[in-house]
Amino acid sequence: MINDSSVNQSMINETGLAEWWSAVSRAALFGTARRTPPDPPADLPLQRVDGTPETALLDAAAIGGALVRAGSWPLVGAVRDLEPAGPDELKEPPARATQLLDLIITQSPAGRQLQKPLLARWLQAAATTGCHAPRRRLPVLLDLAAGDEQFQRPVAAIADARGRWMAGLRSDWAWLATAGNDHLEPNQWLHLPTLERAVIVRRLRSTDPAAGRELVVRALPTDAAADRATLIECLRVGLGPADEAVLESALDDRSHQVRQVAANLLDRLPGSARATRMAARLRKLITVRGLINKTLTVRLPDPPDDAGVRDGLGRPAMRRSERGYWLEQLASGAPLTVWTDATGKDPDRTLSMINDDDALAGIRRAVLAQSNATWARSLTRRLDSPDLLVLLPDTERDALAAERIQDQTDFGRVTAMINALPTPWGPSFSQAVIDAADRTAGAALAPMITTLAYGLHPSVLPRLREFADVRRGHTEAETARNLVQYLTLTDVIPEAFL
Amino acid sequence: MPSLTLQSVEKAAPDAASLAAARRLAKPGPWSETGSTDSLVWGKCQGSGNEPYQVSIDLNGPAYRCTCPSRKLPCKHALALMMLWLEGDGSVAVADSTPDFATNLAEGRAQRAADGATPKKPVDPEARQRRIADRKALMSAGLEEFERWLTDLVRGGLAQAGQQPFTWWERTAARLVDAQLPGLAERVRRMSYREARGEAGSDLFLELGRWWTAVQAWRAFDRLDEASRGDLRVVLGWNQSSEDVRGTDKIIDDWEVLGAHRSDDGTITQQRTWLRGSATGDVVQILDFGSQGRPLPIARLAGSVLRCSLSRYPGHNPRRALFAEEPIALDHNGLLGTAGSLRTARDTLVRGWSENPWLERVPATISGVLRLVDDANGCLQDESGDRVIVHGDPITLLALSGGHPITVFGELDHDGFRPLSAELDGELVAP
Repeated sequence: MINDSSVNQSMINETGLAEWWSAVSRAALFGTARRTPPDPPADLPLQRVDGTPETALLDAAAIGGALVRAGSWPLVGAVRDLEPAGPDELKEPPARATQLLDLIITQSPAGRQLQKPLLARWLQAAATTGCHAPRRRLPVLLDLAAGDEQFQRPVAAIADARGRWMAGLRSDWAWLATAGNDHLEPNQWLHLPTLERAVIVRRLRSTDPAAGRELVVRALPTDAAADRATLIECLRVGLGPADEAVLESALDDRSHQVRQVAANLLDRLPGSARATRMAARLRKLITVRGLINKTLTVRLPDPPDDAGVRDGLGRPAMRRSERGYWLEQLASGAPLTVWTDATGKDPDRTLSMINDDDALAGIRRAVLAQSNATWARSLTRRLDSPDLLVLLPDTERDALAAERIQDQTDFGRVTAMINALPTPWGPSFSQAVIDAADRTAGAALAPMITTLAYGLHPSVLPRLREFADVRRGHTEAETARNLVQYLTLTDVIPEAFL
Repeated sequence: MPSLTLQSVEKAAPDAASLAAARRLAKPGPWSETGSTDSLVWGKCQGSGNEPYQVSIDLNGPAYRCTCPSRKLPCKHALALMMLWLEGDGSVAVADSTPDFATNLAEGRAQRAADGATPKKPVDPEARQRRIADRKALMSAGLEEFERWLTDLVRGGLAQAGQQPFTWWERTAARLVDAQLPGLAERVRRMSYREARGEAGSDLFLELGRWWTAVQAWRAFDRLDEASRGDLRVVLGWNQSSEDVRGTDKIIDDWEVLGAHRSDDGTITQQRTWLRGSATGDVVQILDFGSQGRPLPIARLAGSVLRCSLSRYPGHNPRRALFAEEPIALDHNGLLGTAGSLRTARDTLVRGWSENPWLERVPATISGVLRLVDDANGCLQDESGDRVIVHGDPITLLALSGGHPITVFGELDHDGFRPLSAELDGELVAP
């Protein structure tokens, strides 16, 4: 030891030491000018020959401090009681897949905005091959899903026993306990905030529509108007004939908003009683003349009676002709067969005979509500409505959509098409999108990068590479590069799991 | 690439005279072999000597290097080269490759040139002794002054010291730096930050004791044994040169990397790597320092085994070491071996304090279970039930261990334990 004296720790009176130390620390606070430091215990070698109060205090700090430090073990108070994690059921991901996940998390190889889509793809591939998440990455994945609801299902799917155990460690990760668990006690559900109730109902409706409907029915008698409207709107998910009764009685609801929501949903049930009533009213307005060259006229409806108002023939928005509005409502609520029955022809030819704008607007809504692909095919030639394309089969939609934006110079129209089409897109449309972006010198790409990532078909990879190589503005080239990286990686990811 | 402008060059100039001199030199005339890339600018400037001075500027930093004998940094040659390059008239062109002299200079391997570049002079032992004596005199004076400051401090009391402004501490720290005592200066500064934040509490008194011990130990410097002298030099900040260390002590062994830690206290980053010799079982630590212009070397992988000779700095265990030669990584990987209890690790720390009062931490291998104290803090509980706080976020180790017993290697200090590696599924991983 550096000091001249050696201290035999076991010989020191511990209580005496503790008392002296506390006294000397207090004296130190005030300073030797105001307090004389206490004498050290006899068994401490602290006597200096030519000492002053200051040197005595500093010696005390040195030796006393060393002893006190050596004697005190920093205590740990209470710890959380926790059972260790159970064994995992899923398998360990291959090393290559884990490396890829590390790359995506730490380096965002396709840029910041596409990091989440890449993660989504990785999580999907892991779930498909029955692998659990790499344990080291559980904290970051649990955090990700805590902050972004759309990741909760995918992360829950590969969390496995270790992940569920981790979720119990932090309050932030409590979401894992309830993700995928929609079987709440109805009374518990009733007392949640409306938005949460709606989320649960919608989730439930995709697997067990009847159970979802039962929850909604429970809440209707006691909820406020806005909440009733929100919950009934949830029935849109998994809508079917079994829901008709609830919707029909909602047409008598006190609130206009609720009645409107119910009427809109009933548009989607062409077999319902309301549909039949609307069909009866519509039929009266249609006149088909001629034998060979038939013509069809639609006259505007008369003011509705109470039953008509109940079915949705209420007051329209300002500056809109009442009777035109009612015609549109009728066309939207009646089954499309009303028209083909009247003409005796197929939908295509029938449509060619209809020229009334309000009728066409209503028919468009009916086509979308009734998911009728045949009508959609024909209607799409008459009306510029990208959402009609959604009803068509994939390859047909791809070709038609591509055609639509082929020479389109108004990028707003292209954007409308991009936003309407479900992802992933087919090869033709993808190619057409790149061409359209090219015409606007690529400035359009950056804001839509996430949609493009989900939508673009891998076949456009070479075209995108060109885009990135040609000397362009920095943002466009970077967006294209990131998309190239993304598309390349989405191929690599499933392979890494093999 | 940082955006450097003429303004930033002007700001970098150490004084107006350098700037003026640089402006006079910022013409193509005296310059030869100039060039630039994305990260480096270089050139040779004819000065008053026979050989032109070699200049290189690393733009990531920026870091200025020049072989002229001026002590100013950046010197007028470096400033002039920057100005020439920024002017962009082509006198400093973009090059495809970097000439050797520029790379060597940038990596610090060039010599400082006196007039007429001479080869490295042999070290004159007498001159060296004089330099050491001069330094020791400077340090003695500084420590005497520090001693007076300490006695004044305790006369006025610690409460009063806590009321003092930041400048009061900073003045003492600056005087310590002037007296070639940067180690003590750093400790004074750190204590002043903690006092300013109200975090110091009773630690101030304890730390004063340790400073006092250093002052007293210096009085007995020549009578101390080599290890104690080594420890004291570390506290005071009197660094051993790596050449000196390499010259004295060398052990060849297969060294297993047990774990490493990087810390960042703002301007300096430090990397500690713990190695265990397979023949002796001795554990040493390699210390690397990095700063803005110089990044840390790449961290070694836990479990890798390096065959090489190490040189150890004088001091008590655990000793600091450096690579006497470039290590060769062997094919196989190692594990942690026998684990001990927290109590034995703690005993090692306490024994260490009896030899070196300024000891910060000891390496330890513990087998135990990681547990949570609250959402953010964890502790390690060994087989006998003793618990110690874990420094840092325990969440990754919890994810890896699942609350099951594991064997961890880490550093035990007075406040807790820092895990640096763990054995899992038959291999060593870093948390």
